[in-house]
Amino acid sequence: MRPVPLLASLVLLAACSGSPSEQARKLHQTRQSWEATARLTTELLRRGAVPAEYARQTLDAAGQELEKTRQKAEQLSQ
Amino acid sequence: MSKLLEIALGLVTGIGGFLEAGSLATSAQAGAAFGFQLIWAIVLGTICIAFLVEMAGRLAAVSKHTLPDAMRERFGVRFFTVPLVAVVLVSFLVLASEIGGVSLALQLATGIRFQWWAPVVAVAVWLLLWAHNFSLVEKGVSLLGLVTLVFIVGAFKLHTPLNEIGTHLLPSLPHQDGARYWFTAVSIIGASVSPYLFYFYSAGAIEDHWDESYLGVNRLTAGLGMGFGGSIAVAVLACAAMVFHSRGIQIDRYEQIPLLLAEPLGHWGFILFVASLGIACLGAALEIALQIAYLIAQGFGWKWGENLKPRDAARFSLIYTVMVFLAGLVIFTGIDPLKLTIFSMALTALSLPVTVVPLLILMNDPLYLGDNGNHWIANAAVLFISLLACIVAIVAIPLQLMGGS
Repeated sequence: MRPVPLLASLVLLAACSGSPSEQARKLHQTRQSWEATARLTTELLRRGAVPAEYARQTLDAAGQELEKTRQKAEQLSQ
Repeated sequence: MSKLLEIALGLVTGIGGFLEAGSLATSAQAGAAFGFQLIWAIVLGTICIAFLVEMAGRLAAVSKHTLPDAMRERFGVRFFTVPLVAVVLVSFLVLASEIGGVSLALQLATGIRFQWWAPVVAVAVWLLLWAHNFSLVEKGVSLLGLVTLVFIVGAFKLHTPLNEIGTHLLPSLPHQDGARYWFTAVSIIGASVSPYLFYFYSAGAIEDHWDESYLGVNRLTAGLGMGFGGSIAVAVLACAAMVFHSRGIQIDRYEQIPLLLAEPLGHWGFILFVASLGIACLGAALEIALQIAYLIAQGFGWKWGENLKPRDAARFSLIYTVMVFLAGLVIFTGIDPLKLTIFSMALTALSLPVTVVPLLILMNDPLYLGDNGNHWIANAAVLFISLLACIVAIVAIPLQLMGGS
């Protein structure tokens, strides 16, 4: 990779990161990610691929993260 | 025959000892967030660490100096404190991450929260070091560390497209999430080029009484060992890309990572993941604690050695004792081990010039290396990768912090 595109990319992302639309996109991505994690964990539990205790921990974590995402989204929309 | 055994042991140590909390977490995060796109960062990091390990071994074999010893002698005590402070600080954070990794493996196995395991892990690490049977432990842990080969099995089971790996051996610009992309890239390089690896290697070469007849063994061990180790990190990234990226899952917590082996390998995949995480992090924790003690003791000319009884090298033993328990305390506070690991790796990348440039100067000094000094390709490759990682880290770390991740 040449230094000019690399630096240009870094400057561009410095300007864009942190904007409200970017934050909203990241929150949406995080929500989708945890929903998919919960689905995969449930599917693997059903297949007997993960222990029940681990599945419980992961689903709890998914619940906590989804709640955090919901609160952040509320703050962002105010 | 003994040289062949040395090479075999070196390869086992390279393969079994390469993967630790940092490389596992950064590779999994990269694969989940960017698919195969960041494979180039693992390749760059692996090339750099292979060169550095080879140099540290060559310095020890030819000059009979460990790296800190030679640095203090060549640059003076005042200059030596700069890399000393940088390496100790970064290594301490990495040590805490590794203790966090073992604690998390125990959480996954038992359901008891990781912070309650942290003091137990710290005591176990300390006892293994205090009982001064580290040689046996190191070889044993490296041998057990071969369990990490399961990631390669997982990648095959998932029918990883090899053309995707080939395509991303060269760097490319991100389509989105630029801050996260570059931050993950420097974290991967930082995880691969942890200074503890080559500092520890140079101390081991001195303890094993290497001389110039070991230069071939050294080259093979460094090149093949790190190369095979790097391929395990690529396999972790490939598994994460196939299991997580395709489903839109990002890695925000350690609890998510075992799914990458449970999906292709079922219940055994989960068990082997927990074993890989625990063993790899335990091995790394032992090496890092010892390396911090080596660095400080060698730098200040104190008595040191894994084979000495603690009372015969009291200050050396005191250093690893303090470091292990402080690192355990950091995890006991409940700090997120994944975030700690990722930021430790990015800080490692940031500190690379401080740790690498003095080594390069030594490696080109005929007083230490005679006719065995560095080839310009080795100088250029290591300097380029270290400076690139440092510059990108300077920009990416604040951006990632501003992004709140």
